[in-house]
Amino acid sequence: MLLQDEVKLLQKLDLFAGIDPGRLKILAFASERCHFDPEETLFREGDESFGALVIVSGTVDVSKSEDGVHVLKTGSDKGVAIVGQSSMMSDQPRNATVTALTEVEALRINRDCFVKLMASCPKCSAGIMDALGRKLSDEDLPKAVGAFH
Amino acid sequence: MGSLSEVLRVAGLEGDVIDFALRSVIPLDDLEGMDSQALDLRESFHARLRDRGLNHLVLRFDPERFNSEATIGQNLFFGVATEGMASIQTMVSHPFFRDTIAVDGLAQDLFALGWQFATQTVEIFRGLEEMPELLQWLTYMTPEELPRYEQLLARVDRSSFAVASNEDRRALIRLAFFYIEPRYRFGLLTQELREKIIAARHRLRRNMPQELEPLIQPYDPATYLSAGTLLENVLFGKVNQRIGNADQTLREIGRELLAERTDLRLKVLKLGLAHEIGPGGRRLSNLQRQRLGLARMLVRRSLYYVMNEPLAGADASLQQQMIERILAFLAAQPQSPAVLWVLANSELAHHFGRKVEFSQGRLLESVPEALNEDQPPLRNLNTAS
Repeated sequence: MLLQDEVKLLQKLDLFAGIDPGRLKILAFASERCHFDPEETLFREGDESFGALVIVSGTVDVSKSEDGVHVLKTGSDKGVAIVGQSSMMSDQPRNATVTALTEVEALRINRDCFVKLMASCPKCSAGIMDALGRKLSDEDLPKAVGAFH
Repeated sequence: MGSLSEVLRVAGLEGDVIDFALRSVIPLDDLEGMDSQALDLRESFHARLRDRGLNHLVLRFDPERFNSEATIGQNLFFGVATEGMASIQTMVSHPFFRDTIAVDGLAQDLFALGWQFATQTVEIFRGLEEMPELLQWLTYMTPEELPRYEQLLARVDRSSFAVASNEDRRALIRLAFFYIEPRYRFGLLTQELREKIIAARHRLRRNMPQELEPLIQPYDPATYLSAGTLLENVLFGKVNQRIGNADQTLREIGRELLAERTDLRLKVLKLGLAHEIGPGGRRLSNLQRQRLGLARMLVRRSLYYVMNEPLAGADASLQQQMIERILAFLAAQPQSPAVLWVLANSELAHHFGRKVEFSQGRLLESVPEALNEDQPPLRNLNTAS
């Protein structure tokens, strides 16, 4: 897969949808393609974060020790998945363990480049804030509302 | 050196110091037998990879094969440039080199590849003059060269090799030397071009004039590359970056092998310790500087150690780990010393014999803590607190 195709895949993710495509190309350029065999660990809970991983093809298992819940994420021609985005944003250790269930093709997003891109491009950070805002309203609000009932 | 190496381990700097050593080219006068030791390590390293079925993690230099993780230049010259870029410049300007790449239309192909590489690069990085921090990912061109390539692209077309000036030809062919398909993913390298490059590699090696020979030290499995880094010498190939955990796995195997070689390990640490870290340690990360401060303190034998939030900024689990390691190290000293430690996080106080809490300059509380059972009690602790 070529860099230009990866840029198109990144654009489909909420997190990057608001970033100018030209800038997104720098992010893809600074990122690396990598492959994992089934049962290989992409990263472990508590590991230092190097950035998010975009799952281009294959399925991974995401698990957190605090609740023991396993979530499967799959990337394919129809759409890509992303893991490790919260530790990339917050610079905190990984909050989940991600293991490959099949052969996995991924793009390792360069955290340093992502941070510099946000800092140097107000339009990009506005786009990302927007995506985060939508994510918060999708995922956390129902929980917050539920707490009041 | 034995205890210094222990201090580096306790401060968590051992890996960094070894990395510094691995990335350095050892001056000939300082080799002290490390050349033959590096060759032995090279052999053992690859033997261990084979034993564990991990051969594919390193793409070894093979005279008959194109190394997909190496640059086109490295594939063509198949060796280490003894004087870096200067070697390549001299080589490229020599009539022998021009004749060698004139065969099979290789020069035209490299020119076209360089043209496309420049086009893609300019497209990505154009207009970033006001954001120099993003230009750091452009490693094969200087920020000053970027506009020059932009002008060059306006002058020549990808197929205009025949009419291009010598200077433009050299600029584009030189740029093509930096291309690595899996790293840049512009889709510029065909199988046909790979084969042409291998053929040119053999022609270069076979017919190289004597005056050019010292410029390139060929990759030879039985020879130490005196112009290469220690890492290049041990790996004798390129890390297969396509494999997600390759770096980490190779690092672990390297650490294992080094642990089995006391003499070489100490030489490597010594080499790493000589690494230049800039004024005030500017070339180190914040955490590395903090670790270095700790190491500098631990290496001095003393009866009392006073630490004022030495790991500010490190995450909680790392702080916990470091406190445990440092206390165990100090407790094992012949005159186990007293430790006074100012903590930002009072949850870590259970490691100590007494907790003293202050607020706005006043003593709030002074209580003996139940010592952790596996933590040997430290002498004079009460006196110190």
